[in-house]
This record gives sequence, structure tokens and C-alpha cells, in this order.
Amino acid sequence: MKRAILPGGVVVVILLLAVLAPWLGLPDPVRQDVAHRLTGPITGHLLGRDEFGRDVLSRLIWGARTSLVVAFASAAIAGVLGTILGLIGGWFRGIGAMLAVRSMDVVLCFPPILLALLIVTLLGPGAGTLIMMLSLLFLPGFARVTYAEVLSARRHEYVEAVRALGATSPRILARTILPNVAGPVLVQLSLAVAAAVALESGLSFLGLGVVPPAPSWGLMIRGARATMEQAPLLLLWPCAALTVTILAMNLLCDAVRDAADPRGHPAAARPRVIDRLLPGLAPPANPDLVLEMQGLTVEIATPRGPIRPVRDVSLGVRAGETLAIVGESGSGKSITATAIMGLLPAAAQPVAGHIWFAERDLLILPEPALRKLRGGAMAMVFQDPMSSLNPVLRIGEQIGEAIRAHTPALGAAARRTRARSLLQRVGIADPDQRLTAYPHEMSGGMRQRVMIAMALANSPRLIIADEPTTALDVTVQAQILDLLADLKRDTGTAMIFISHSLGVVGEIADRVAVMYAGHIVEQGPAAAVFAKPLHPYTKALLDAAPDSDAMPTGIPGIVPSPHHLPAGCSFAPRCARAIDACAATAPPLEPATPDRLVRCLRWASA
Amino acid sequence: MSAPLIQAAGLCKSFPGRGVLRRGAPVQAVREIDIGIARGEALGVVGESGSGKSTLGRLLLGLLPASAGTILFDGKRMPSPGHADWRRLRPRLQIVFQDPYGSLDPRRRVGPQITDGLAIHHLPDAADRLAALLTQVGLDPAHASRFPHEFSGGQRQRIGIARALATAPDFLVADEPVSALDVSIQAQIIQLLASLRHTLDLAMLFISHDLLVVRHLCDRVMVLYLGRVMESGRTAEIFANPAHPYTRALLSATPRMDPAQRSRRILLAGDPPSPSNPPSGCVFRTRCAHAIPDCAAAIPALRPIGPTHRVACIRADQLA
Repeated sequence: MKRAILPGGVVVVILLLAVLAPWLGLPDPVRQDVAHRLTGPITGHLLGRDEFGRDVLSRLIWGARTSLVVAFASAAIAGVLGTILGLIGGWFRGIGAMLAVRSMDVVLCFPPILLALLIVTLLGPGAGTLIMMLSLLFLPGFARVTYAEVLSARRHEYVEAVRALGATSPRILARTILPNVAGPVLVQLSLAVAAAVALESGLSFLGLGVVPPAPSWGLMIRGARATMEQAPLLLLWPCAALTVTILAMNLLCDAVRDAADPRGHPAAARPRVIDRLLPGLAPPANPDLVLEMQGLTVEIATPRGPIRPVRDVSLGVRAGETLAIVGESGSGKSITATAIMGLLPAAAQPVAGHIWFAERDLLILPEPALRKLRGGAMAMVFQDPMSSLNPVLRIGEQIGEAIRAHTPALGAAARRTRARSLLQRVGIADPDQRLTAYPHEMSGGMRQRVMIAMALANSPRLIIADEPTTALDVTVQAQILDLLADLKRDTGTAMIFISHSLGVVGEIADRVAVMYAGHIVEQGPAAAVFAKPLHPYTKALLDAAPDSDAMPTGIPGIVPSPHHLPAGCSFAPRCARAIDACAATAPPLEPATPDRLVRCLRWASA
Repeated sequence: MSAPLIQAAGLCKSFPGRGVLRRGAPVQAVREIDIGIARGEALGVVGESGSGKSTLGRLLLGLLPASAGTILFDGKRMPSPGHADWRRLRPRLQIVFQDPYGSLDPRRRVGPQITDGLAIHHLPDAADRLAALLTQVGLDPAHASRFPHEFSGGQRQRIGIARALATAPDFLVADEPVSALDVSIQAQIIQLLASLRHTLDLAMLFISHDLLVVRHLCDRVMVLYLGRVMESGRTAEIFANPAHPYTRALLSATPRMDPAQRSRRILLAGDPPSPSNPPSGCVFRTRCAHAIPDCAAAIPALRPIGPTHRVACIRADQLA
């Protein structure tokens, strides 16, 4: 709301001046004194006199009355009528949309100046005519904006929910739809008021608006133009008044829109100077790991202070091995994956740790070198194959692009042959035909196969798959999991597989790392972890899955907010086995058996 | 079992096809489904995307008009949407949605959203009722004045349930209520729905794409494919002894954590056909490993193979 104070104050002052004009003791704005025409600022006439010797300040303030009444009245009339038309058109569609929206398109077909001339000729010039004409001019804008917003708002389930409760259409429109479309309508209102002030000036300038000698900003500009050489300041005053009013109106409407949204307005990310530690000179500890992550910590600057969604994460993956990172939303698993690819959002910065890949630390690698690795030696498969493929390019071109980015020397024909064999490799039946298809012509499972083909295009040593089957149907998911397992076996690629589903992880992973609130809480061979979980969180997660014969049991409470992490063990507040020590000390990730790690004070007493 | 509270016979729903120059074939979302749910009973409807399960839920609620077939609610015919009788019936038929973010109005406090149904139908006791509802779904009554974005996904789903329960409905449709939630929260919501069904004696239709989720909540399961029922029966029976090739494929494709639970996977080739151009005869035959020429000849009837177990497959006996 702070942002509304300055523009709000300016608008209030302008409105007050306009309203109080008769009581301010100003000279008569239409009284001429030709003897003193064009005199500069003097006592009693702060801004001087115009070409007929009338007081400029007085005309400016009285002119605001006319200009603002015209602007607000026309914007308000157009806003109310247009919003109603848009609501009706968007809600009832069919005939309603026809009448409400198409009729507006007819108005849009007339050039505004022709429309103005027509109406003025019919009704004669004056403020009333101007209001009517401007409302008609702005009406289509409001109707169309509201119509479009209603169409998108009506698809939300909360609208269907009130309909299921039996609410009448007027009630749904007034209580549910209107508040949710109000934002863009408010913006449109501010634009309309601003445009109306400008148009009023323009039309009065042309002699189609307010009739002289009544003061208005447009008439003042028109008058000042003739004497621009002798008294240039006369042009400045009405122009300045126009600019300040329009700017203040726009800022005020923006602030009001944001204040009316209970979710608040997200502050822009503030990129911070990297306070990363100097790169370590030590080579990666374990040379047979394709990728080794050591103590990665990622910090994100948020409006409420910095948070660390990934804290001290260490993991490694060998060739031909699948490491699954499993965790619930907010556990930091996806941020860990994007950090490897160097695709962290601008607000997120790695503040500690190393990611060793091909004997280089990815965290300090310059962007051009990273770009060479991405899609080359390491590739990524995303969750949603529809939004990850370019909808306007054919499949063949997209795979070809992936090949060309890393092997520019390859000719078009060779690229095509390679793309074709890649499609065959991922089990697409008629590769020649599919190369010329667009993404929307394929099913979800087929698109995910194409994404995997693109990931394989440059024989990567590491594939990162971020929830690659979550958006797919269960029978198609089974096909994709089989394909990934085949590829891993045949190519010896290392794979990091991110998932929230324990079942999927159990099917595909050799080793598993369980994440909770940014930490790895348990790591080990998948079969051993699932058979005998050491960390209470892993055990609770397994009990929560509806997999066994027993009724699944939920974990009480919710994941802690990254802004208020518990002092000790992050899971302690929800843990059935927590003791006082758990809340006090953060447990280290310690080896339980030669190949298993666990972050719990009490794992041994399980 | 008592007489069904809600009963439908020969229910069909098709949506007009799209197209600018030439209108495409209509999408047949639900075809010839018979259904009956008694008070205190939960029926699970399982299917993949495009199986018509959500459309079926909205038909039974009366939110969509049926293209053919009849729906009887509490012995009376379901009025058509918008009718005054339809509006009067709303408090008794309610729905819980999948998306805990999209199903609450972001600009209104949750308290008034929960009691909307009471206000619309001029029912009394909104304030007391609100506190009781919030307690019933496991939330603090003091939270009624908060906005939806101040809650986690699981808490929002509880708010959605409280809104559906506000008018004391008899029939509740839960449309994938746990699909968007984390595993640890899913179990909380399943348990909540299971206990509410018993304490409130609700008739419940539980829609899910995941067979495992319906297993612990539902008395009976109905498996849909391309708008048709493939198999239906008591939950334990379906899990122990699936008779339809599609049900078997679905069960075997569901990822399991426990290697002992994993059966030999039956991989279905390809994707489900388009609902606007379904195969002749048995709609599943194009992906079925056991299909024979006879499968294309006629639509297989849903026939009983046990006291409550019914299957729509002409080869079910040979495959058993």
C-alpha cells in the first residue's frame, strides 16, 4: 500500500483543486484583459496571462474541472458498461458473447476521429457530447479485457465449486468472477482515464470538444500554440498538468491493483554478489564417479530474506548406475538437479560446495564451457514433454538442432539419418513419418520418447531425468521406465533420476538418496533402503505409500518452511521417535554400514 | 445392502467435436454406464486420462446434462442443470476437486468460502458450523480468516473437503483428491475421507488414476477404459483376481516399492485410442495381447462372473 501514497496524494490534490476551484479566490477564468495579454508571472497572476489576458493559473484549475469530469465520467461509464458486457459475454457465451463482444467489434471498426465528427455534427459540441463519445470509444476495450479474463477465470475449479453449491449466475459473477478479473479491469480504467484526459485535450484542440471561452486543458494548448514564439511557457503549463495527472493515475491504479490482491506482489529477485568460496584445488576424491557433488549449498534471495533450499548435499553416480533422488515438494531435489546443469534461476546462487564432472568443477565453470557440456556430455529430460518441445518445429528439426549444437560439422543428410536411428532407439515405430510430425500430433508418451531421443543425441555420460514419468498415464509410464532401464544397460550412461514416487524409484534405481528440507537424510542401495529404512522419515514415507496391504499412515504435520527451519534435526517436529536432543543438535550424515549413510541421532537404536 | 442412494442406468455423454470448417466426430466420453451407490458406501472409479471418469462424476452430480440414460437420486429423477429443483438439490450433492490450488478462490478468506453453500441456501448457524467443520477436517477454527495462499497443499485440500461438507451432503464425489499431494499428505487425506464416510454415512464416488489409492478407501471398484466399464466388483476381489486383461495390465504397470509385490509386467503397446474414434467391438482390443477377431465383432457385455464381480471381456473365462 506504500506505493499508493505518492500517486494517491497527487491525484487527491488535483481533485481537491478542481472541486474547490470556486472557493479559491481565483480571478475569473473567462474575464479578458487584452491590454495585459501575454504578461509573465507577476503577483496576483502566478503563471501570468494568456493571449486574451486571462489568468493562466485560474484557467488551469477551472480547466481541470472540465478535463477531469470528462475523463472520469467517460472512463467510469465505459468501465461499468464494458465490464458488464464482458461478464455477460464471457459467462453465457453463445448468444451473450455474440451480442456483447461482436457489437463492440463494430464500434472498433470506426476511426475515432470520424466517430467524433459524426457525433459532434449530430449533437453539437460540448462536455456532455464529449463524455458520451469517449465512453463509446472506450467501451470495446473494457468489454474485450473483461471477456478474455472471464473466459480464463471460469475454467478454475473454484468457480465450478460455487456452481456445485447451487449459486445463481449473478451471484457467481458478482462474488467470484468479478473480484478475480478486477486487476486487469483496474489497469484498463487507469489507461482509459489517462487516454480520456489526452483525448479531451486533443478534441478540444480540434474544436470538437469543449466550447470556448470555457476553460479546458486542450483549449489552453490550442490557444498557446498560436503564441508559442512570444510566450512558450503558456504551452508548458497545460502540458505539465496533463502529464502529472496521467502519470499519477497510472501509478495509483497499479498500486491499487496490487493492494487488492491478497496474495501480495512478489518482489523482483535481487541477484547477489556471489560469495562463493574460492575453488578448491583438490581433484575429485573418487575418479570412477561420473559426477561427484560435494557439500552443495544453494541460497535463494527472497523478499523475506535468504533461504537455503539445498544444504550440504553430497552424492556421486557411477557409469551405468541410476541414482534416484526422492523427496516431497520443497525437499530441494529439483534445485539440486538444476544446479548440476547450471540452470539455477537468477535469484538462486550456490554458496558452497563443488560439483565435479569430467575433472572440472561445474559450479565455477564459465557459461560457454557449461553450454558445451549441456546437451552434450550431460543431458536432461524434463517432466512435461509438451512444454519442453517447441510446438512450431517438426520433431526432426528439433532433434537435428540438438545434434548440430554439438557436432556442427555433420551434414543435413547425416543428421537426419542419426535422428532417425535415435527415434528407432527409443522405440518409435515409424521414425520416417514421425520426423516430419509436430509435437501436438503425438501422444504424451511419444513426446517423452522424443525428449529422451534428444537427450541421447550426443551420447551423454550423464542423464538427469526430472520426474520424467509424472505427467504420464500409468501404462505409458511403465513403457518409459522400461525404455530408460534398457538404455542405461546398453549405453552405460549414468543417470540421476528425480522423483516423488517411491514406487517408480523402487523400480528403476540402483541407489537412492532421500531428501527432506534440503538435506539428504538417507542414502544407500535402493533395495536395502526400501527393505530396512534407517531414517524415521524414510520409514514414515514408506508407510505413507498406499502400496502394502495395511492402511497407509500419513506423517503428521507439514514440511517446515525454509524461512523457519528447526534448530536441530529438520524432521524432529514430525518424528515419532524424536527425543529432546533431536531438537537441539543437527545430526551429521554418518555412515551406518559401508555403503549406507544416514542423518539421524537415533538410527542405531531403531 | 440397502437401496442405492444414487443410481444411474445406461448413462451416456458425448461432447460435440471441434473443427472450424468441418466438425470432427463427437467425443464419446461416457458410454452406457450403470452405477448404484448406497449410503455409507464408497465406489472407486479408476481409469487413465480420457477414460471418462471425471465426466462420470459430473454427470452423477448433475453438473453436466447426460446425453442419454437416467439418474435417480434418492428415488427421484435428477433435474436438469439450472432448474429450480436442481438448485434445491445442490446441498445434498457435493464435490472435492483435485487441484488444491485452483479449487479455492485466491481472493477470498477461507471461512466465507466454506460457508458459501449455507449462505446460498439460507441455512442457519454459519458461525458455529464453520468452527465445527474446520475441527472435523483437522484444522484450527482460528484459521478461518486466512487466505488460501497461507495454507499448504494438504491443508487446502482439507478446506476443500470442509466446503463440500458444509451443507451436510448425502453424496460426495472426490475427483482425484490426493493426486496433487505429497505421499505423506495423501495418506492423511485418505484417512480423513475414510473416517468422514463412516461418521457421516456418505455415499462416495472416489475417482482416481491410481488403483492403489482406491484400495484402502473403497468397497467396490469400477475400471473404465475409453468411457466404458471394463470390470467392476468388490475391491478385494478385483485386486486378488483381476479378470479383464486391462485391469491386469493396469495393476502390473503400477510401480511397486516392494519387489515381492511386483508381478511380471504386462506391457501395453502404444497409447489409448482417441475417444472420438474408438475401435469397433471391444474398445480395448487394439492394445490387448489376447485379442482375437471376435473381439472386433461386437461390444462385449458386462457380464457377471461372481456374486458381485462383473467383466466386459468375451475371453475372460479362457484367460482365468
